[in-house]
Amino acid sequence: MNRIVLDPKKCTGCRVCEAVCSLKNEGESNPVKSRIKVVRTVEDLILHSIPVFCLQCEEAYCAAVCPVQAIAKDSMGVLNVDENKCIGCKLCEIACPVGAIAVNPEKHVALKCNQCGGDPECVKYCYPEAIRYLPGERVGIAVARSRAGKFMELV
Amino acid sequence: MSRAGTILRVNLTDGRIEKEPTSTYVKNYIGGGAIGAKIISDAVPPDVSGFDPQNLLTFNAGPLTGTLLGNKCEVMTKSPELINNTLVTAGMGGQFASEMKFAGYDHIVIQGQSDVPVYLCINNEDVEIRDARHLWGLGTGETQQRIKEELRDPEVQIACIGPAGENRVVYALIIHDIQNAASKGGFGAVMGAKKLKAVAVRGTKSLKIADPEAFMGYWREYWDYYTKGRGRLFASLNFREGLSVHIQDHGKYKDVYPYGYYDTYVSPPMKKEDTAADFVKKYMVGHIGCAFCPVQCQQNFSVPGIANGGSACMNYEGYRFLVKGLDPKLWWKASAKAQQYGIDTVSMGSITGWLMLLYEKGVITAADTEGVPMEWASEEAVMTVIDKVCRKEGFGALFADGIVPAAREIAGGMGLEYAVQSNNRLSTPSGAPGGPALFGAGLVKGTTQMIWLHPAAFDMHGIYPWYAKELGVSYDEAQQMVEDWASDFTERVVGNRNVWKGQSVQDTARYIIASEDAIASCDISGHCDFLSDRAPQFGCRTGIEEIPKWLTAATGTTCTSEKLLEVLHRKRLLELSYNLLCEKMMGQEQVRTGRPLRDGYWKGKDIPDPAMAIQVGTEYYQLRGCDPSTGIPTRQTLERLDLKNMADMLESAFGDSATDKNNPGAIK
Repeated sequence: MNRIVLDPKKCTGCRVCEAVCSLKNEGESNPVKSRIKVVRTVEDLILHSIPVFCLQCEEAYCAAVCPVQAIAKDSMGVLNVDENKCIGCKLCEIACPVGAIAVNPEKHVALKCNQCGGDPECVKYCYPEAIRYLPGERVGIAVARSRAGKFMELV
Repeated sequence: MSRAGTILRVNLTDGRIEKEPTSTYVKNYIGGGAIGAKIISDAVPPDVSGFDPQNLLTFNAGPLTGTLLGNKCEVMTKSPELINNTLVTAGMGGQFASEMKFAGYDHIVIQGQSDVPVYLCINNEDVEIRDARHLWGLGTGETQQRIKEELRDPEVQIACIGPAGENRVVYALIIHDIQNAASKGGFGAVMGAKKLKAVAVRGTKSLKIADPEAFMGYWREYWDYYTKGRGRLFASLNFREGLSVHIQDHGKYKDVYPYGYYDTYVSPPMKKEDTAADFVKKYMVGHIGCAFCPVQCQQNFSVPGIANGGSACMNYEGYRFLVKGLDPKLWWKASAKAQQYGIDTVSMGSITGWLMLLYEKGVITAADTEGVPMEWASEEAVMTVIDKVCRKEGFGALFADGIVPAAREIAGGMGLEYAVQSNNRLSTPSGAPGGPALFGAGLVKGTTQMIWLHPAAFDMHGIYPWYAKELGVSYDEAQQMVEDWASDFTERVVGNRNVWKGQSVQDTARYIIASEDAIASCDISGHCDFLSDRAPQFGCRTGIEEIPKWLTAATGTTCTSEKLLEVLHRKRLLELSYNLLCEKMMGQEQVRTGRPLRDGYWKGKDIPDPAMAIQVGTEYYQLRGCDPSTGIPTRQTLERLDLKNMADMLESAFGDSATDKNNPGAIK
């Protein structure tokens, strides 16, 4: 089972992920309708940017609070929103611990990453590889490797 | 479809806010800088000064801006810096123009002049002019921070000025985010004259793409080109090594840049710690590129004890070679300060270098600069000049209008002999003022674009070692590869592989036009012109073949190369006609200063035989449908391009233009 893995240090804040997400899933160019959001902060003239997206929680609060069971886990472990069931109550938005769900302001249904059915568009076009799509069992070593550089400098 | 659909007009004199549909302009002008030029030339009389309330400041997005294929804000105004205040344009990157589009606006047009400092606050439909008295005097970073806090919206995108713009220093610029700028031409000074401290935009609307499938297809090709194709070297080296900042390192060649103002082109050898590559290695902390761009050519730096900030290239003129200050930390200290003041660093470095040259030659003494000796590479001198000029204090006030007016004042005009300005502008692009780099741009009158037209532009020796290392080839092979890219470009656009070498006039006029069209196709569509045919030496490519397809997929209106070329021709001649009217009506003679290139890399490479220049100019004017002897567009051409009003205005200003030997359009 694959999942999207983040290396926040590599994000350049280019927002390509937002644009491809909204175009692929909503047919429009609009960061508001992207399921991945890049939080850009300029502090003392240094840009910090962090992409925020659904981490597909094991114990998913969004699904637990949904009064109409519109959010359910599929066989890939991905939490999907059934737009026909969704009543736009926004409880999932409140419950999500990472801030990865918002309600589409036009369609009034929850906007949530579904990993594009197993081929996430955002990952495909993340040039600096701040986000990668990896099998769960390979994540550990991949993350360790990306941080190991720091230790290598010390030895 | 991908247009936002509305032009926002704000009059700061009476507070009037009006909206009109973009569609009126679309058929003839498509978008971006072309609509901007049309809006200004329709409304601003040619004899109005850049500082006049009647002048317009326009922020122009294109149909591709805010999509995966565009992020550019083409800022346009009647320039207070250029002689006779002709039109000037600058492409500002970052997130500003996309946000404008998401807020629902293709263009923002600022007119009039406020009594007190204000800032414009745009939140989708809601547009408000707010008091900015408490922001007046603040630097560009703090201004943006304060506005974000005041609006309680960290996502707002802001373009603002610093004290230099407030004080109307004519080379003041507009800053957006950390270091995106609308520079060169005095945009910041125009904002200052209008008492407009900032424009803050927030938008949440969608841009519809007419044919998402085709659009994504084109974008994927484009993406592949910069990640796997020819453009990948520059893009990946930017990510890993911050290459954009050290492309001007010398490699095998040296003595390309003017050293000690423009006194010589011969500079001492650089130590490793003086190179830009070393600076980047030590201090780069990240990237700050524009929205949706694969190249991310601007880098974020943190230099302990000096300042944080950003840069896209370490301009070797400006605060390095012109002031003989090879230590990059001096450049950084001055540049970071300049960003906060909102002033062009190349212009400031140029002024500082000139004062240092005058000091060395004994034309001025420390008494002329308030007791601070203008010693070469002196940090005290460099920082004093920035402070004085941007605050318009003491001797700095002399420089508010540019170097030539200052030269007339200082030491009884004796400094004029050493003052160099080019293309009506104080600052110059890489290379040499009045020299080969400006072969085309200086020659063809009234152009709003700076065009690289000489091998100097391709002599990016700083990139060869990196390309060589990346590809595992020799330095010479890397150089050959880049030269082949330049040849491929000129072969594609004019069928001549050698024209970029500048050794013959053959096809040069067509090459100038092709370069103008490549840049302008980006200016009107909202794509970055750096990633265009203008910069084949970085592997960049986009122009009149790609843009029409992208526009068709995004907007749903079929655009062909022929249609695009017609619009570009119309834009060019509209600007040319308008600028000729400015020159005729304002009537200032350009002071041509500067001395010929004579040493270093440039030895024996100077242009020109004036006869060659005239031949190229004549051909250019013929191809553009102008009178070849005067450079004035003919009535027939203008009427064919729906510019009859320009033909009428030119006729009443110049009379029988073709025979008027004294008109300013003539090639001198």
